[in-house]
Amino acid sequence: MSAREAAVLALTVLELLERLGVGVEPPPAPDEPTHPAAREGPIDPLPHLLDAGPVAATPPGDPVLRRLLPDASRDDAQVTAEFRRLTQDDLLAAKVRRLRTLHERLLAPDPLVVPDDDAWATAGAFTDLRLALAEVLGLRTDDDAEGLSDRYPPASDDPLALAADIFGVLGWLQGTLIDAMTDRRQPGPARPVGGRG
Amino acid sequence: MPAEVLPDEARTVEGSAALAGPWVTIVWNDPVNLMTYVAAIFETYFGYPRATAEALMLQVHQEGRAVVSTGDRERMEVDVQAMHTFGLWATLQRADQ
Repeated sequence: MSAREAAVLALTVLELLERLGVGVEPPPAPDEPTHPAAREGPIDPLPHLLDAGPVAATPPGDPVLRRLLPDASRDDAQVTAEFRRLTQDDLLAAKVRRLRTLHERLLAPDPLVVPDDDAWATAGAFTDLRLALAEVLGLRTDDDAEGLSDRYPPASDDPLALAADIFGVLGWLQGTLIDAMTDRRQPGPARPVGGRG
Repeated sequence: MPAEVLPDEARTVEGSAALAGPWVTIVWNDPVNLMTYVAAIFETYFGYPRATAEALMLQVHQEGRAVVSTGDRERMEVDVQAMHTFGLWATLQRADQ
């Protein structure tokens, strides 16, 4: 992956973090000075969702947020509300944390080298990015996703073509990561074929 | 959803749903999640053997949904939260719904 490609992916991560209501840098710790002139480092310009008051029990209005923090019941609003109260803060914090880690890695050397203990978090971050892009691209069915490269051929000047391209690249990255995690890599000379069941 | 769908799906999961508890976790198909990712989640998080994990994944993919765990409501909330953390869409409901 070229540095430019990694930078494009990093920008995509940044856009999702902003849509989630947070920036790339975490907010200052409670005991740090809050006056901009007294602090070092970038200031988080957007209200930090995690510092909000009582956890919202209503579903998010933003469709991207709603896919990342989905309803826990199909038809019971009380179950859904209770679940959001219990879990939404933690769920959002976990997703933000791993997106920030991915952002850092994409701007560092060897962006495709993922430590073993970071593998699941990285896969999850890839998924959240793809879920957000799928909302932007209006993907609703498996056929929508499969027909994506037909809808946005390489010569397309549709602005969504870049989103479709990134969606595809992230899918490939995630697929190779999962294969490595589950030891389904393409076999070398000494390794047995198999694992796909 | 139709009541006759549930017993077949419950038999797919190790152990009978009727014995394990009154609530179930259902994972729903979506156009984004890779089949290998979904199967790896079922294998790693639930500890299902690979063949079971892949059968459940195929059920999600082909039938639109699958029951992936059963138990009391608190346990299902934990499982649903885990599925959402992975990026899957999951819901909980009473087993007899």
